[in-house]
This record gives sequence, C-alpha cells and structure tokens, in this order.
Amino acid sequence: MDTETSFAIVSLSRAGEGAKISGDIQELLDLIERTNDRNLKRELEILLNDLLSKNEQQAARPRRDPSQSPIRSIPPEILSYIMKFHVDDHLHLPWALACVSRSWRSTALSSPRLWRRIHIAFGQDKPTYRPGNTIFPKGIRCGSLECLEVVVTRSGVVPLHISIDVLSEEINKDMLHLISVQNGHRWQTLHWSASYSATFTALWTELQPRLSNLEAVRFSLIQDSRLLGAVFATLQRTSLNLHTLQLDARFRIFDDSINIGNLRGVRHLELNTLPGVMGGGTSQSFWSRIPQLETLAFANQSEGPFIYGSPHGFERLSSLAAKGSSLRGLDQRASSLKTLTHVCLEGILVDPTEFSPFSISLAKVTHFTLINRSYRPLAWFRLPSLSYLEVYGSQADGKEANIELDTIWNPQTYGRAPTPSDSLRLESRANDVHLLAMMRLMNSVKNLQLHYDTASRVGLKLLTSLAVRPRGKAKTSDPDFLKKWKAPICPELKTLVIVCKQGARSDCDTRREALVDVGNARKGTGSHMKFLLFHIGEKHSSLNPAMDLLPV
Amino acid sequence: MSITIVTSDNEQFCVEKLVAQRIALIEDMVENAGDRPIPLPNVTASVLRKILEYCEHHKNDPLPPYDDGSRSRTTHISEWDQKFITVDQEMLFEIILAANYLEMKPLLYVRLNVPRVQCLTACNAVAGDIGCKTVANMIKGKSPEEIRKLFNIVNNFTPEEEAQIRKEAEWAEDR
Repeated sequence: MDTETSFAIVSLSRAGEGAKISGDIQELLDLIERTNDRNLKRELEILLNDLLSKNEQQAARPRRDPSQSPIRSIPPEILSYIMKFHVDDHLHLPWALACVSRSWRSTALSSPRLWRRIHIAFGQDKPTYRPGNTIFPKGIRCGSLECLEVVVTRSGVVPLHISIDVLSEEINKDMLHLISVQNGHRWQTLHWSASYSATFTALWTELQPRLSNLEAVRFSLIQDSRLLGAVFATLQRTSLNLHTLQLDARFRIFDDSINIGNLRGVRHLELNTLPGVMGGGTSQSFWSRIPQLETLAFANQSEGPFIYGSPHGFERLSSLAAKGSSLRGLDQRASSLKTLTHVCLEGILVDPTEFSPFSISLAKVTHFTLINRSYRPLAWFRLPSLSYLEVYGSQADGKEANIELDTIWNPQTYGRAPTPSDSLRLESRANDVHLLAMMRLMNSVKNLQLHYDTASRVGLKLLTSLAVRPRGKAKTSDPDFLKKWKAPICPELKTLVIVCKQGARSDCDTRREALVDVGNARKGTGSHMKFLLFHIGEKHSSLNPAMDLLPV
Repeated sequence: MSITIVTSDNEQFCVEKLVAQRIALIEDMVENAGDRPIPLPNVTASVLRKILEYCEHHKNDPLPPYDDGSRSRTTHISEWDQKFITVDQEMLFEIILAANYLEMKPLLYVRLNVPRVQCLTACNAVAGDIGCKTVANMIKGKSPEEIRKLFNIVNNFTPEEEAQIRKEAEWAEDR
C-alpha cells in the first residue's frame, strides 16, 4: 500500500457523517481506479459501499424548510406536555390551543387533562376575565349543554375540578344531570358558589348524584342553609374521601339540623363567616364530629371552636389560623393540643384582659404569627418550642409602643415570654432602647428581620450595639481568640434584614452604613454574619409556610 | 472518572461521570459500554454542549422526589436556568427534543411504565421541563393567531373545521 493511498483511507474514515459524502465518493472512485493493489481495492470498495449507503440515508432524511417553524419537530406527547403547563400553571383555558392548526388541535383534543376544569354558572352575567388579568377563570365556562357535552367528552375519564355558580332560579336540568349524575363520580374538587335557589335545591335532591371521589370542597357566598343542607346530605352519603372543606357563609354555619356525620374524614377545614353576620359561629356537635382535623382556619367567629369542651377535639391538629375571631376556651384546651406546631392569629376578637399572662401553654408550637393592633396578646402564650416568631400590625406608637414591648419581654418574663430560637420578624414603633432591651433577652436568634414605616425610625443605637467589636489589640490579632469571641447582643445572629416602607435618601444611607458596620464588626469572629440587607419598599412574606393551606 | 460521548456530527466529548450520569439514557448505557465511547446518534454537538452545561451546573443538586405527573407544577424558572434557556427557537426545540431522547423527561417513563430508578428520572426531568415551561410561557395569554405568528405555523384547517372552531371561539368568549 503506498503512503498516499493509506493516508487517504484514514482521512475518509475520520470524516464520517460530517464529511461531504458526495465529494468523498468521487475521491474514492478515483482512488479505486488508480490503485493496482487488489487488497486495497477491496477495502476501498467496502468503504465506497458504506459511503453510498450513508449518502442514500442522508438523501432520505427530510430537510428542514427554513420557512417552517422548529416547533413542528416536537412530537405530540411533548406538545401536550407544554399545553398542560399552559393550562395548569397559567390557569389559562385550552380553547386557543385547539384553534392554532390541525396538529395542535389534534393534540389538544387528545389531552384530557386540559379539559378537566369545568365551570358552570346558572344565572350569572359574563365575568370580566381577560387574558393577563389577575382574575383567573374558575374553569372552562360552559354556558350551554352543547358546550358542556364537548368539554366533558374531551376530558375523557380524568378526575374533574368542578366549579358551580347558582345565582338564579333558572337551572338547566340537562346540564346538571350530565355533570353531576353522569360524571359525579369523576369530581375531585368542587367550588360551589350559591345564593338561595329553591329550584336548584329541589333538583339536586331529586337527582341524588354520587360524588364518590370528591376530595375537596369549597362553598362560597352561601346564604341559605337549606341548599347547603341538600349538598351536605350528598357529601355525607357518598363522599367518603372528602378531606378538605372550605366554607364562606353568610349565616351561622351548621346548626344541628345539618347532618355532617360522614365528614369525620375531613382533615383540613376553613370556616369564614362574613364580618358582622349575627350569630356567626358553630355548634358543639359540629366540632365533635370532625375529630380528624389537622388544619383549622376560621374567620369572624364570635365564639370560636374552643369554647366547646369535646374530649376528643383537635387531638391531631397541627396548624391553626384564626382571623377576627374569639379564642375563648383556648387556655383550657391548650394542653390537649399536643400536635399543634403552627399558629397564625390575626385581629384577635377579645378583651385583652381575658387571659392571664402565660395561661395558654402550647408545648409543641414552633411557628407563631401574630398580626394584631396590639401585641399584648403575645404575653398570654408560653411557647417553649418556638423557632419562628412573626409579629406585625401594632398601632401603638411612642410611649405605648415601648410599654407594649416591655410588658411582653422583661427580666421578670425571661424564660417564659415567647422567644424564638431561630428567626424573629418584628414590626414595631418602639424606640431602639426598648428594642435593644428585648434583643438582650433573645440570645439564640439567628435571623432577625425588623420592619419600619420609614428609615428615620430605624434606631442607630440598636445597630451600634449589634456592631460591638472585640477589644484588646493583642487579643484581636489572635485568630483563635477571634473565632471564639461572641458579640454581647444576639451572638448567634447570622442574618439581619431591615425593611422600610419608605425613607429619605440621607436616612437610608446612614442606616445602610450602620448595617454594614454590624457585619464588619463581627467579621471573622464567633458571631460572623452571613447576610445583611437593607430594603426599601413593601412588604414581608410569611415565615409560616403551613398557613398557605387549603387550596381548592 | 470520565466517559466519552460521540454526537451525531462525530464530535467527541470527554465528560465527568458524575455529570453524565445526570442523563438517564447515558446512566443506562455506561454500564454496558465499558470503556467504549457512547454514541448519541440523535444529538448534535451544539445541543449536547448545552445539555452538559446544564448537567454540570446542577450536578450537585439534590434529587427531587419522584414525579408521577399528578402533582401541580410551576412555570417558575430560576435565574440561571432562565439564562441557560435564552436561546433561539431552533435551539430551544432541539434542547427539548434532545432532553426527550436522553430520557430527561418524566412523563415518558410514566407513560411507558419503565421500571427504573425513578428518582434519577425525576431529576433528569428538569432540563426537559425548563424547555417546555419556556414554550408555555411564550404562548401565555396569546390568541391562536398570535401563536401561529410566534411559531410560524400555517392555519391548515378545512372549512368544516373552521366552522366548528368559530363555534368554540364563541364559547371561549363566554368566559
């Protein structure tokens, strides 16, 4: 084999698919013609056959038309996956997806999950939803039997998320039959918005749907217990898997005439009575019948659930949220709340003198949020397991704000007042001497977030006190000494965030510098900090993750 | 330890095993290939480079729980991922296709019911998911005509189909 020829073979082999195959074929043909070596000729012919075969394959491969979109290369199952993101996450309706092209339509129509959120409104004007609005549609609004049939067919056999509005006496019986009787077993969640309707109540009772796979129900705008009673009769008869219940009612929720015997499986409950409704509240029998509760949220309950002394109530409760409601009885029930870890109280409806200090002992609570005009209710609680404390909303100003903090945290209450081991978020107008006194009692806090109306309220004395440096020149040059040295106030602090709603530039600059000084003072010491932030603008997000509950 | 991957355009990539194993298909092939290079005849070098960039960035991420497709997702994309996926449409769809081929997409397994290390599959889903989320974000709030324009799609409905679509357009307006 001559050198030139063997080099050519190697070169061709390496070229592979990326080479210009037609040019290589020509070159190969020339080589075969020129060579006299029989063995080499055979090898070259094998190579030629291989190249010819590749050439055919390349010719057969469809070439991408530059005018065609690359999205055409996406197989239907991936397009369906993209559509699902669009519908599920953006809460958009699937209609537009089915009107783009024949292939898109085919994909959309064979993707049942796109069609599973169905909204039926009896007697309601068109809502004002438009794409881009923050008001999201409750589902695919079906205003006629024909539309409903199409959507139900396209949804195949997947579980349905149903939203029903009953706002008039004009009820389409065929639609109600199709969705509730023929497809009632597919309902997974239900959002029911209804004022009084005698027609609907009678029809529902007549149809007797079976909602055997229903898991979560939300009732809103309920004005009449008869309609609610009819639906509850269905739930208690057929919905054995129901675990989540949300109620926004305009009357006293549940008297003993409503049988809720089959709601014993409900684990998550949210009760909202509209503010000012006379008799807002519940009955003793109601609470005694839902012993499995893990999450309880209630609003505008003038009596609250804790006045009823059922021996088995709330034994599994892990999260509690109350807004504009009474906490009466909580001191008596506290010892039985052995699994309660998350508490959020907003706008407590009580006389501040109702509970004596530390009379409500919640042994396992790790997360506690209080949003109230006064922080004094915090002094009612003993929270020995507390990790995260959030306190917002006090209207106290000046001297009153100082007294408010001093009442809760002072040397006499040390060891008993709520003191978080991890994080504190506090909004207060108290001056920094009093804040400082409070902080001296919080030795283990690692994350501190302070909220102010304006930057000018951020006390420099507090920041200066947090920025104490180790002393003694000889000692501070010793790295071992520095690593062991701890700051006198909040020695474990790792994160310090100051949030101001507004502030003059000069005030912001001064505070920002003081904040940086805290970080510098603690640098390299045993109190070394990880994160400092001075933030101007709105607002805080919750530390209390378990409060984002009950999605229906 | 590293392995060699050969792309469809014959480019070779020497990849750290830890990085390559983020790709489910390669994870499977490594065991059988021994020291031989792993061929990826459906992925070009430019796309594999992007995929490996993603795997390298996320190589130490904890494995997310297995996703059977039933739990809700979010179209939120992290800042790095957002930058990573800011590419032209052609590359975007190439990445999605490659992620699908490389089994970086969980639904494929759910549908095919392939018994395998499901955690790994779920982890690898992310690259494919980012592409799909990005496309979903692109069509957010758009009308059919706007979607056609965005992706250069031809309206190829027959007159009969157009009639049905007009009816649906009325239903869609009634929302």
